[in-house]
Amino acid sequence: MSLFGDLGFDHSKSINATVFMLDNPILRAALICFMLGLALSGLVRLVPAPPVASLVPTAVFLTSYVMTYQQVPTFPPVGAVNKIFYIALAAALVGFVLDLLRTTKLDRALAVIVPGLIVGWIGLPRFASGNLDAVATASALWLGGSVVIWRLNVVAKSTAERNGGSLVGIAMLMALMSAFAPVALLGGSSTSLMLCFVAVAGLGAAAVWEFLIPRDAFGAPSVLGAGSGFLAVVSTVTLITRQIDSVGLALLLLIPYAGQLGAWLLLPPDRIHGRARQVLVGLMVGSPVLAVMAILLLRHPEFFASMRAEQ
Amino acid sequence: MKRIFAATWTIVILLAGTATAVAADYVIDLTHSHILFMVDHLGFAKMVGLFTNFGGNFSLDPENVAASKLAVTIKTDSLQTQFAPRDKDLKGADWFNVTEFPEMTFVGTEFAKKDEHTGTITGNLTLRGMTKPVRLDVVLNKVGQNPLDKKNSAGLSARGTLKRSDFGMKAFLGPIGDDIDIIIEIEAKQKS
Repeated sequence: MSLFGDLGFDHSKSINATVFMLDNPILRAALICFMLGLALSGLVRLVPAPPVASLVPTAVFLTSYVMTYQQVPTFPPVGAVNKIFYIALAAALVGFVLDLLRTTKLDRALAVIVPGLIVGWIGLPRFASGNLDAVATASALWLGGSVVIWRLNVVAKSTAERNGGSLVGIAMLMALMSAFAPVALLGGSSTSLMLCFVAVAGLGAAAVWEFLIPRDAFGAPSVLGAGSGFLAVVSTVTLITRQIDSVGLALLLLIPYAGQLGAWLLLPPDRIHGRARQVLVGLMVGSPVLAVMAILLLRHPEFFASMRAEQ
Repeated sequence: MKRIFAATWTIVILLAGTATAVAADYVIDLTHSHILFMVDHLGFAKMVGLFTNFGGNFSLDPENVAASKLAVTIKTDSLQTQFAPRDKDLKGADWFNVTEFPEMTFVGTEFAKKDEHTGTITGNLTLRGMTKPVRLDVVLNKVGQNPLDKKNSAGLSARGTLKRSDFGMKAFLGPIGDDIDIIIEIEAKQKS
């Protein structure tokens, strides 16, 4: 009998839920990453230079990687999974330099080149064996990856009124990772599911700070760093684990346009603007996540039933 | 004369006997060989997996065990754990990464005899592009003619432990154990 039972509140359930969270390695890692995201995002607001704040999403992604794989991979990396870490790190540094130089001239070129390099490097072992299917899949990934990086960049550099700015940029990356998590699980990578889930928690913390004290915290270091890291995870599951649900993966491409489309249809700028508009656009960006999950459940009911049975 | 003939015949038989005991090369008989592994799951029980496709050969010299040789290649794509989603996961990039590393190999480097039937084999296990030493405790169960196919055969059992973290497989350490128990049962036919 709970001490608070007569008040209609079973305190033991709350304790059990907390114990469950701390016992569950994924939830524990997500909680730690969220706290780290909160701390880092708060600290960088003491530094006036925007590129530093923009490093937080990539720092969150790299932390998620280390917490998921429990290692900083050796260099040079052996295998696709180890490449993910260095792709995110190197791309973030490139983005940091670009933001320091305050140049946007290379944005379009990088949106094409960076995804191409990622897909090419991850898929190299399969191209080397002359696998034409791999080349076709990689080409589609390259195209999709370019759309994602380009749209992340456009949204992040827009004003809050136009496309939502950094807050919506963070929301977009969170939505992409949230939607990809079940695709990864289905695709034979529970580890990628964990990585995405933990990163979303950390990015959520960055989003909270960006909402409270806007600091353009989703610049080139974030788009190129965390965005490239995400593309590297997708490329690894698609090209190396090779069990991807192509419909689920293709639906991810709704996310970069969902906010813009939703705002155009439902949010007249003269009526809804400012923070409210940012939040609503951010929520619209996340709306395809539910669609992806629903379609995956409908397409693979036996898989998810077996996952429930395993637990 | 009869004595000389009998003595000569005895020597011939002894030499022949020695010849079978001297180094012989064997090829693993996949139909009667098994490579399994076990890993702790949340402390409740051990999950068992196996590889169904592997091959290799060894050279066994009972008189000079240290001179033995062993090389085994395992096709990582043949992994099975009796649960398809888990098999898919384990074959993926995060674990065995069968696309980039379709084979794992074990090459014996040090052979030591404990007593007539037991000993240890230390060798280099290459998994996911990383090579680490692994030691196996081995029991040489039987060397002799297989009564069914009349071929000279050798059978051995090996047990060992390795740490998956040594091979870069560190995800879910804690809930899923680091120590991997290895269970090997090998039957091999002597090369003709």
